[in-house]
Amino acid sequence: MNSYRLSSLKQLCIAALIGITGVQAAQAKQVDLNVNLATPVMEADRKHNAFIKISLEGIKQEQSQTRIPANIAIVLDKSGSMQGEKLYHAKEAAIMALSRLNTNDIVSIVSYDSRVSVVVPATKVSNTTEISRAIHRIQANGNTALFAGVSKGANELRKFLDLNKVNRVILLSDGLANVGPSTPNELGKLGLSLAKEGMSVTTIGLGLGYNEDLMTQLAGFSDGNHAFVENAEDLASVFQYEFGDVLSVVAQGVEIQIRCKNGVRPIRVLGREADISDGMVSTRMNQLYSEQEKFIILEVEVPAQADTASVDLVDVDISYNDLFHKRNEKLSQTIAADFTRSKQKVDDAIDTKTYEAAAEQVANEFNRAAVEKRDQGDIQGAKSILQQSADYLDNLGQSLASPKLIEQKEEALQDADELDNEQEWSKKRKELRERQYKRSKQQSY
Amino acid sequence: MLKKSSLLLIGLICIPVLILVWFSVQLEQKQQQLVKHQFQGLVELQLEAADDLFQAHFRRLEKALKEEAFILYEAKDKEFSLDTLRSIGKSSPYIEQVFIRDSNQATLYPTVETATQRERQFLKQTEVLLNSSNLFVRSQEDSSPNQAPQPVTSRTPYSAQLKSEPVVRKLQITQSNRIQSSPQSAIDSIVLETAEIQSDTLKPNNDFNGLQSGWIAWYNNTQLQHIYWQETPDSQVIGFSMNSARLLSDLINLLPDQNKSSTAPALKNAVITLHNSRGELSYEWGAITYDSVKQSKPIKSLHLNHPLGSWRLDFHSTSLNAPPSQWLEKSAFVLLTLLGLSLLAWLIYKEQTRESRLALQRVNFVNQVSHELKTPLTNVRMYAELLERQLTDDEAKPKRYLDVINNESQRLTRLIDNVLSFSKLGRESLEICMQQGSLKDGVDNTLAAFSPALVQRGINPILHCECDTAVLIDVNCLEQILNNLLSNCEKYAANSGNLVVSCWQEGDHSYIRVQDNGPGIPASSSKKIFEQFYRVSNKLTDGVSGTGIGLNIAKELAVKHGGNLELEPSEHGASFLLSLYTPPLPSTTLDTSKA
Repeated sequence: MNSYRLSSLKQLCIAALIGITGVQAAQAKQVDLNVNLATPVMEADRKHNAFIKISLEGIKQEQSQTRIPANIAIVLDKSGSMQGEKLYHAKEAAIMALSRLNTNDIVSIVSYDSRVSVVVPATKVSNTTEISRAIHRIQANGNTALFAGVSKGANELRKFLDLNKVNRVILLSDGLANVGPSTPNELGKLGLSLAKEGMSVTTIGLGLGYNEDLMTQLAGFSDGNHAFVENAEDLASVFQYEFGDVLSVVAQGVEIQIRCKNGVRPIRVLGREADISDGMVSTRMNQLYSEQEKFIILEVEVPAQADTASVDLVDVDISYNDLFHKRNEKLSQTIAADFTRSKQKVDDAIDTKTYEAAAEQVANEFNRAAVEKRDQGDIQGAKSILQQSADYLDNLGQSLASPKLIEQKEEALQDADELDNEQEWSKKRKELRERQYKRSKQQSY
Repeated sequence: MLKKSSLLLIGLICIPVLILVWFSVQLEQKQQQLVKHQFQGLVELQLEAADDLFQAHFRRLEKALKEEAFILYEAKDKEFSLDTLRSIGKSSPYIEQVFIRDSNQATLYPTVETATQRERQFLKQTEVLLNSSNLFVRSQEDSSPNQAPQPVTSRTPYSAQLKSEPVVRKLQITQSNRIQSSPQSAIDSIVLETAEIQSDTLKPNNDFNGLQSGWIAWYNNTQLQHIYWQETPDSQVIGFSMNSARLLSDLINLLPDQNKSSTAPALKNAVITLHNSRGELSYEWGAITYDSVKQSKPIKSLHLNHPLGSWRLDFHSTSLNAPPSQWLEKSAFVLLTLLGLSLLAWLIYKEQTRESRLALQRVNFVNQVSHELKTPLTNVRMYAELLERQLTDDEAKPKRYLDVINNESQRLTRLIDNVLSFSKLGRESLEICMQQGSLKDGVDNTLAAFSPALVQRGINPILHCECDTAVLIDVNCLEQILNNLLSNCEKYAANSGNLVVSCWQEGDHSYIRVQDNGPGIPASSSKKIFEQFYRVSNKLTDGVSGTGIGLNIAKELAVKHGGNLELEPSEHGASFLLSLYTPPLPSTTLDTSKA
């Protein structure tokens, strides 16, 4: 009641302000855009490969604004393998997480085995005991109709779908999808379609039985989170993190357009899907969270320039949906590089943070390649890729004097060691996939 | 006797009950069949309802895509803008890729030169598909009437058309395009079939009216993909490649979830499954799981309509979920009938046993009395004879009285003998005692005993005897038979003159014929006279006392004695032929034969 009064008062003030100052009411931006070059100063007279980091960060709201309402569908696997501990913890975790929601939020609970049941159809979170009771009634049994479960979950979201809300499917599964579509590709396509509608999917893999490729693909297109939870006891904290993320979303539907200028050629975007054509790079992020930095690393080829030239490399335009003010916002920035013949100047100018971030993504790509090689059964090949990654990280870590990169080198070497272990591979692969996913999406937990 | 009657009673119970059961089973089976039929109809309706949902979804998609195509077409300025085309693929949750082809079958967008990675991938996947020439062309016979747009569409309101839609819509499937040009392509993608939908029901407000459009379902790496295409007025084709996962997801969302379906009465003990073109299970709903009925054949299978042509819906059920069958009521009814009949039978049986026990008691009583009568009777006869001996010849009167006493007591003896024999025969305890004897003696004795009475009644007995040899015979038995025959003569053939008794032997058998000249026995009664308690009823027998068991006993005795007693047809009077088994004496060992 109090807060309602406050906010209406504030609105009045804002209205008055707008009335006085005209249209240019300066309002705090929700999102910070930073474009950085790993090597802002480059050697003249030769071609370079340069890393550009485009980072976006939701700004913490100074005033205690009412938070963005959430529209959440929790999709729980209740197949036979979930029986006992696992389902118990999953239910408890879901119920506990519910307590963070309030009456502005909408929740729906879908459970699936061979068949799908909408346990709680999309409803305002006003009576948590009722919802909890419904969750408690879920019993494990049968196969895994994951695709249909996510479909029905998404359908519940659709009932109150609002681009000014955080629309999220949270999927928990411990097994392989064996009823309906079951390939990562098909689930990825579904994820893509949902992302286009403004929904994001978070996937939580429980135990060692799930398909990590499927789960990461499903989450990947919508920038949802992905977590590998080995022990069911940890579900509670994962759900807490997840809800924390969901409740801190400040912007959605972030479209990023990068136009290369002056002969700069885009090579690849590290870690994220992007369309590259004709010197244009476009990609999107589904949402930005308050106080979380999300970025993309773009690798470009810069043509040789004359000494002391200063050349614009790329224009970055982003647009996003500001959830607080319910309107579309645009930001843009241009990044330029300086060219010199002085080696010293080049080295001095290196942006260590940006370079580290880029190196992390490069190493992440190595890691992906290594897993693919290992999947083909080529352990030696995988090891040599990781060795390559370690060398790269070591080299760069030395020259940048970055303990973070040295640490990651150690990590790569350890990964290489553990590739041999057949028994632990299933678990290791899940860990690697989770780490790759988290690194490429800058997941907060 | 009792056994027989209880068997009869059991039959009396069982037969109606069995008939009842048979009819109930028949009725039930017929009902089941009827129910099964109705059930099948219901199942079909259910499956068709699901198919209708899908079709409606495709129509909605079609409408939306048509509009999308129209907007694209309107917005184009000589050429389509690349950005607009790309933005569709980027923003639409349903559409994966848009493509444009010109009237010369050349792809205008996406082109290899400007393609992004995703577009390049699309081009590669659809290379064969898009190169097949007649993909977007209506078949010959179809094209002519469509040149002139039919005015029907504008007259009827859109909503009304939707309702009567199946009649208006013409769905035509042209020959599937088998691509022979490039052999390796057949592995990547196979064009399943193309179908043109003459979509004159849709969008009367845009000028795509009368232009061709349709769905193409094709396989991309064994995944079914759908493409919707629309011809534009300038003979270009705008195509939309659909997101297959999204399409399936939408179809699944049209179907009920478990909460809804498990409570639906029509899906009790049943599950409906949706199978994709590879026969894989895509979705299931119902009260039971598909796993539990996987082995059995579906009760009903429905192949979906185009563009989901290769998909099917299966209805599985553990039992024909007939309405609660009426077996219980029917069996209760049968059981009740059974109980009622049994009770009745039991009562009858009880009554009968009571009666037969009484009858037995009565028979025993008669036996007892007969035995008791025998002793005084013997005494009477004995003293009468003693008295007769002491009489002198001139005492004619007392002699005559004594004769009467004698005759009457003999008669009484015979009667008692008959009664005793009768009850013995009834109990099967009468035994024939074969002894050495002569047939002639027996016949003589009997005739001698009867002669006075016969003569008195005006009957003249004549004996022709041709059997003097000794044989094995039960003389008592013979005498009892003859007694009965002769007493009948005495009773019924009074004043009839000659009574001829002739006896002879043939082999092991001896024969005695007793022929009187009395009124005779009607042929119709010739069998019945041998039955117990039967008495020919006519003027003759009226007023004559008799027990009705004499001939019966005589016949039974004759049969016991290995022979028979028959009534021979004769012109005058009655003629009985008695045959007896009388084996000749074994000449050497007399003693053993006696034993």
